Amino acid sequence: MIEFLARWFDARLGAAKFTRKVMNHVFPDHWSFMLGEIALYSFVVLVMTGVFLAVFYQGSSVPVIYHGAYRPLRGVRMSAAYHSVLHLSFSIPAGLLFRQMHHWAADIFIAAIFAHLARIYFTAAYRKPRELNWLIGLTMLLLALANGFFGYSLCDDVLSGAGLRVGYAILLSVPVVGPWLAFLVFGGTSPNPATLPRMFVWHIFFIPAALAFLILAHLGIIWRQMHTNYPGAGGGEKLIVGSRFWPVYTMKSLALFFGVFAGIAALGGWVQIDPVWVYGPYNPIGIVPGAQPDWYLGWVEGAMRLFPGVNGHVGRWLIPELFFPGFLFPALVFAFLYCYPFLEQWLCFDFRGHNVLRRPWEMPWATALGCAGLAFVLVLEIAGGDDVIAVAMGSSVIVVRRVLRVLAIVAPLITGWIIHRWCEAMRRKHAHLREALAGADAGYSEAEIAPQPQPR
Amino acid sequence: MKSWAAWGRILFVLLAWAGVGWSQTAAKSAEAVALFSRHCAVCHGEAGQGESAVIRMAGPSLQAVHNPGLVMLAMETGPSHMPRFETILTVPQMRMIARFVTRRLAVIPLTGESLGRGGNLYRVNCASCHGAVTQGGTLGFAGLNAPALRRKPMALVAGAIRWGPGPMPRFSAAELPARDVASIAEYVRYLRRPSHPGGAALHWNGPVPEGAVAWAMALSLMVFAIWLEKGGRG
Repeated sequence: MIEFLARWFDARLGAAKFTRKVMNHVFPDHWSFMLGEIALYSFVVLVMTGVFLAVFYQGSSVPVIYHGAYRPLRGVRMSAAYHSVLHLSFSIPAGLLFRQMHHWAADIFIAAIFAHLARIYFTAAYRKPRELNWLIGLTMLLLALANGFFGYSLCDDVLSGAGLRVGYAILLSVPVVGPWLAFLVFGGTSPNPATLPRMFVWHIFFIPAALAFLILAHLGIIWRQMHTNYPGAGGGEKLIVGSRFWPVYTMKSLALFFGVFAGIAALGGWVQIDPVWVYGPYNPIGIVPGAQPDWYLGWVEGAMRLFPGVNGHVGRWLIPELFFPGFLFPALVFAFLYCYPFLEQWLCFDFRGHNVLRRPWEMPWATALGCAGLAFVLVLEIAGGDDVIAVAMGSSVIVVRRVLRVLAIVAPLITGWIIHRWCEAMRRKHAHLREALAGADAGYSEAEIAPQPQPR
Repeated sequence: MKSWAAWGRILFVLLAWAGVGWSQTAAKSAEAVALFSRHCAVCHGEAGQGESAVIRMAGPSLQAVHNPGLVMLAMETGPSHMPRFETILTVPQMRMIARFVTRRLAVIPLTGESLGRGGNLYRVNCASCHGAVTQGGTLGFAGLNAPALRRKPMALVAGAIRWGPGPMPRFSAAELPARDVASIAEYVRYLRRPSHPGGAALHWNGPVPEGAVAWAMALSLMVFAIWLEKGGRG
């Protein structure tokens, strides 16, 4: 029967040849090539849980009175959106599990994208011919950040409303176009009944669709181009050494999918995330200590906390303080990342294609710059939670903030210097090795099992 | 006639007994007032409101102390800045003060109001400093932190609403009537042992610990990927 079906399709689509080609596609074996897959599978979990949540969620600001299962909120007036979140958390079987899985998956999704981005940067996988995928990947990161923010806002609890208010203020602070920009996104001032429905549409439709399309493009380009490989893994500029798509790679990837699903489900079931019922329905004066954005926007929050309260003036016009850390800084970070491959090509005058990755120490300034950037973002991330840290340490938030202001300048410099020295040392060590192995193959035979070479 | 006289005598005895009793109680009550204003009012205020014109570090308010045992314990042990009274006052005197505090001064009820209303009032009036679940928080100015309320006696928590220790504002009876204070107390008491569906509560500190846990899981998944690349061995 199966054979009959296979022949039926083969006769009409030429499926056998195609399948054989797909099954024989070779992927290199290295754990760092699977970071993007963790993100991919988190996205799968996000879509699966998100569809469930979308069935019960109502993106509406109509006021209603709660009479549901959660005793301390009975009789409380709230928006229909917040009501539906409470209802799906407390009265729908497994609703809370799905909601928590969705939120954990979002946090892990962006963490995996971040780690993947760092891997690409430090191994210079963005070089020609992969600039396109670098741009697509960054765009997906931006879309993921936006969708995380929208999802956080949809619950319409105190944290959601506070986050929306901060986002509204940041948009307002943009010179000249600020008010129009804020009106475009929020449909009026904030809070505003038009905001939730349009964010819901963006959150469940436009952005996931764009992400899905870009993921397909991302994977298609990876498939079309030769995969990168590490120096010394047995391959080279024209040769990949690794496992075939079927069966080894498929099984490995499937196992990773189950691992990601299990990890997210375990967190969703055992660890609470965003307990909206303790924050209460949105009320502008109900803001609480410990109210932060999710971690992936914590660095912007930290920048806003550390930046000194200085307004800019251009002629008669005021540029509010918030604009610099809240809008300009993240915009510059992304602009720099978008331009980076082209910047490096131009600086190093290297317009060749590269299929073999660069080990981090081979370009000390690039690695040092990347690590200094990571240190800066880490300090900002910590600053985003400075109030929680101050209370946990029994210290004053003013002292914590002063220390972090100094660290924001010192930590990147020290990190960059140390990493640069480490890279130079590694470079010297490998130069010695190369001399010692002069004439012989300078590669390192890390592969223990004889891999299958695939010429292309 | 005879029975009338008998009833008259009984009535006289009863009236006399009541009169003596009343005068004794009045005397006791007067003594309790005198004892309180001599030993306690310097810090706790004449009405137990927790403020004093004499001492700056006054307090706390006694207006929500309904348990005489708590007053006795405080007088015997002298918690925090409070002196010990066990050598100054006799046990009957301390008992008199305790009864006076809990029966006359404690005007703020602690129970019997609505949890939903209390939650609303708590979130609007208290949560911005003390946190969504009374875990405490930073005030963001003058380097001060608002304390966690979980281990504080309920009597102190409710009393502090009127008293306003340190930088805390005072909420008058016009702003928060006694039943509102009682509702808040009800919600704060609920938060000591809240139902927290959805698993471990990460100390209720919002997205900061959540981000740390998410990264821990992401790193674990990376370790899992490394293990997979080793062919699932070791």
